[in-house]
Amino acid sequence: MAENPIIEVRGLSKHFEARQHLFRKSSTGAGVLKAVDDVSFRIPKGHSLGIAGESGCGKTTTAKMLLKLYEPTSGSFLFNGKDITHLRAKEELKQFRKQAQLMFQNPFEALNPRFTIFRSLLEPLIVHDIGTKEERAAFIKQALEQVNLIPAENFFEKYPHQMSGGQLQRVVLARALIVDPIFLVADEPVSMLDVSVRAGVLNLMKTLTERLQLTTVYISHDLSLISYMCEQTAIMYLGKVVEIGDTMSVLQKPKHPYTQALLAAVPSPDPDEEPEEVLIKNHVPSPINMPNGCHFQDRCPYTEAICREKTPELRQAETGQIVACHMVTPFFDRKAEREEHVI
Amino acid sequence: MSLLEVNDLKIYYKTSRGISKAVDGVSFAVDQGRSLGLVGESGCGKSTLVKGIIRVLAGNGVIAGGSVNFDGNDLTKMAESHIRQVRWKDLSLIPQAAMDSLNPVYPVIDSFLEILMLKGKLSRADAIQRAQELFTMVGLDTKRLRYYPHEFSGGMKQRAMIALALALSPKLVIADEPVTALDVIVQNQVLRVLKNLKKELGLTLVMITHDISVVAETCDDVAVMYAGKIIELGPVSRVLKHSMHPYTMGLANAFPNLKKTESTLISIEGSPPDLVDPPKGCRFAARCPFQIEACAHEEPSLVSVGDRHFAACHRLDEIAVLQAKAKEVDTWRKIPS
Repeated sequence: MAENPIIEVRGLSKHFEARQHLFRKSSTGAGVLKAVDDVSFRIPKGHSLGIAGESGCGKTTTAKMLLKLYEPTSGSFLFNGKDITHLRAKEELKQFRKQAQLMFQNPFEALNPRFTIFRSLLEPLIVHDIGTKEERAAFIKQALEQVNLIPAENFFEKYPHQMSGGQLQRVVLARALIVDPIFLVADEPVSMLDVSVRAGVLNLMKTLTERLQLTTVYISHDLSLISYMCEQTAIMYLGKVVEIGDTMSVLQKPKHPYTQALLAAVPSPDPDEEPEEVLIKNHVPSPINMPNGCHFQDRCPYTEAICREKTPELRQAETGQIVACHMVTPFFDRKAEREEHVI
Repeated sequence: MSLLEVNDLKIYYKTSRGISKAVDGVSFAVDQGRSLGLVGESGCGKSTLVKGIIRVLAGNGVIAGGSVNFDGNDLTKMAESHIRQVRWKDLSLIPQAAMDSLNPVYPVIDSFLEILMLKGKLSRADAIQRAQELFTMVGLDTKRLRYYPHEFSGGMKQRAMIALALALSPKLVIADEPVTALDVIVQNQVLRVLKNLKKELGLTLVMITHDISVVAETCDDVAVMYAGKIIELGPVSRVLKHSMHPYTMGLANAFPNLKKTESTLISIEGSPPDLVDPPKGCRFAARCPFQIEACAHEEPSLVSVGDRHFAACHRLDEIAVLQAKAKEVDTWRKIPS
């Protein structure tokens, strides 16, 4: 591919210093919380990546680094071919903030309750100094029409409390798109919405991102949402990407035991389907001062000596995706073996 | 006889704009040892319904009619002092946001001792032993009883709340969105705990959720609520696989399914009606792609459509046609109003 990917991160990490005491910075070094540890991926123009994992896995921290809300501890971040890891210059940063937009999780809190919808959509245009007064009104109308809030004029003077969750989330999307970004991060875009309107927002996002050739990152714990929305999927566990690749491969032929467990845990809407057995044990361990080796070692049903000694490298599996597991090649045989025992 | 029998229950809220009919003539029954899932969108009245059943409504809520027969007594007529004895002992609630339901300034065991000693009249030693039993039952380490709630993870707090609800071996447990705030793996563990307890203790369970997958995996029966009414009721596999009400069909379309990646999600346009001034006819009519003239004038009643399966729709006689049409995307596009 000749064209540069819009997003490329290499070895991106964000470590926080953990404090044992509220006020005292520990001199002994209480520990380091590796919220995101050595994460690499690239997203070509117009593609979408879904990042999934349990709470605390680092998906939101990753998103914040992609929006330059956090400075990475190490690693590099290339945006549209340009290294902006340490971008500080005010003008350039502002330019980046126009090109990269965030869609918030909770539409009821993302809009200023004292602003009319018109005013909320005007704000980004003022901040980025786009258009004259007349042009701005036209942009706002267009932005609302784009998200199917028609006729747009009817919404201009409305306040957030006069609108439903689904409509508000459309406004939030319109506000993100009004500055004509090339990159969009959607953090749990529909988790606060009712099921009957979720599909509408998701379909809208799908059509718009396709039409506008937007590069998108979806953060969600909901794998079915990611399978519906994203071409690529990354599964994170305790700060590390454990499996990444085409959504079809990752979610239909998962290789990492953690991905398999996540998928088995998703309840099926079909009542006649036997629930799958989730093979993992214990809880997510504390992310502070992780042991050597694989982060998943204490919960994995297939742990061997090597898992406790060496951190698994990301390797390509025969199904195409990249997996961080020592057992990845012999894995399927193992599962078959295990099933034979059960039967 | 059923353990819980709700007959034509009406719960209204007094609001500044008038009376909001949050629950308006709801009837259902739950037999001993079975589990019922209550599903519906926010504002459909599912939480109000269970709050009404255990009589913990907000100050502006009143039971305006109907009865709740629980184990031979009508809960709506019971004196407050009497119902206090029924709660926990015979009937308990796993509240929504169980995360915040444990008192943060006491160790978790104190919450257990309070219930067990005060309500259960156990001695301290017996209460401690029972608390340990309960913790083991939901898969928590008994050591953790001495911990404070902030030392628990979300899933552990949820399990502690389940254990607490079971403290005095109630006949009926009502769970309000028991897994909503949890990660999938933890959700799976909590649901498994509930399912096992139901099997082992013969627990009767009413579970509120907005997630039909959770119902599909855990419940025997399901009641679908819309705008204060039950619009479809029956065994889970009947209701979810042979839906008789257009709203239930719409819900099934709106859910992403990991195993059916090729299908397009379809949303139900519009929003539920204002319950202060609900429409005269069917409450779903304005959003229904199959509405006919009768829907606007006359309210459909819940009628039997098969073995223990009920639905409230005017077009039940042509349901096979509707079921086929409901699967098409175009059906749900903007409804001509």
